[in-house]
Amino acid sequence: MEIKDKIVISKDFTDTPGARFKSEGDFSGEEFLESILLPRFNKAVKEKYILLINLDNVWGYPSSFISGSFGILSTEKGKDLVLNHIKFESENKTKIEKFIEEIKNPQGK
Amino acid sequence: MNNKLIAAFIIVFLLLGFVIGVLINDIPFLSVSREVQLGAIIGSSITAFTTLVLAFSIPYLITKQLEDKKGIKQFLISEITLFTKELEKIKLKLEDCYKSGAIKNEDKMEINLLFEYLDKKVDSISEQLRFSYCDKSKDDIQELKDVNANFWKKITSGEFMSAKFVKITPEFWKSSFGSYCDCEMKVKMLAHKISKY
Repeated sequence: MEIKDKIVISKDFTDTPGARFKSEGDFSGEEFLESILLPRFNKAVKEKYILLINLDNVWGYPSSFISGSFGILSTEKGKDLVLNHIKFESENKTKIEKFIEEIKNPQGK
Repeated sequence: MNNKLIAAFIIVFLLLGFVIGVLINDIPFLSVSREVQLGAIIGSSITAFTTLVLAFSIPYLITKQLEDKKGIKQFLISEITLFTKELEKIKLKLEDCYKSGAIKNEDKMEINLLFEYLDKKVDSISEQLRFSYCDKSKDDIQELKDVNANFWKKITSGEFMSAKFVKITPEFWKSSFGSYCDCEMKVKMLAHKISKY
């Protein structure tokens, strides 16, 4: 599969990711999941391509944000499907590993 | 070995050769058999030369290798010291917020950024360990990553980012401080492990 779509979180959503749920404040993981990640992910699955997600240029990712977005996506769609259709890019490998770890073992599961 | 030392060795060997030559000619009890073949002389000379080269070069090479390894270890340990200093900044920030009785959005952003920086330090230390001690360091790299991720989760996975979280409670501080101490201790232990590589 080839990469046909890209989300740059700092530009397309925010550079200050927030909490887990929308009820907890702005730029939550839930808000990101519903407004950006899920529709783009569904399209990638339907049209059989990879969605690339750029993680750089933010003020750090709280664990709750990742759990509220990628963790929930993994719980709902299955880790294999998510890992098949999403790839991450960042200048920081450890950061990418945190996202992949959340997809493999969602905290909220 | 520097050039001056090599020059000194050459001069000493030339003088030695000269002295031996004089002794063989002038002192009767030192004589050289005229029947010795040229091949045997060349063979003995090569053996003597090889022995001398090995005698001087092996200790030098071993010492140099040990010094290089020591330098790499010291560098990695100083990287880990820097990591613990960054780690401490998070603890101090939380402590300030706890003592002041309030935590603002800017404080949370600063803490998230410090975690971001810690991730970069983990990347850097891991790459260096892989480069210098590929097989030995595999488990230690994973432990560093786990320790870093556990501390990050402990602080940022719960209510921390909620807009309603405007004050650090004694329970949150106690739990965060305990997690910080655990993380710091494990990272310091890593420095000891590296020193024994």
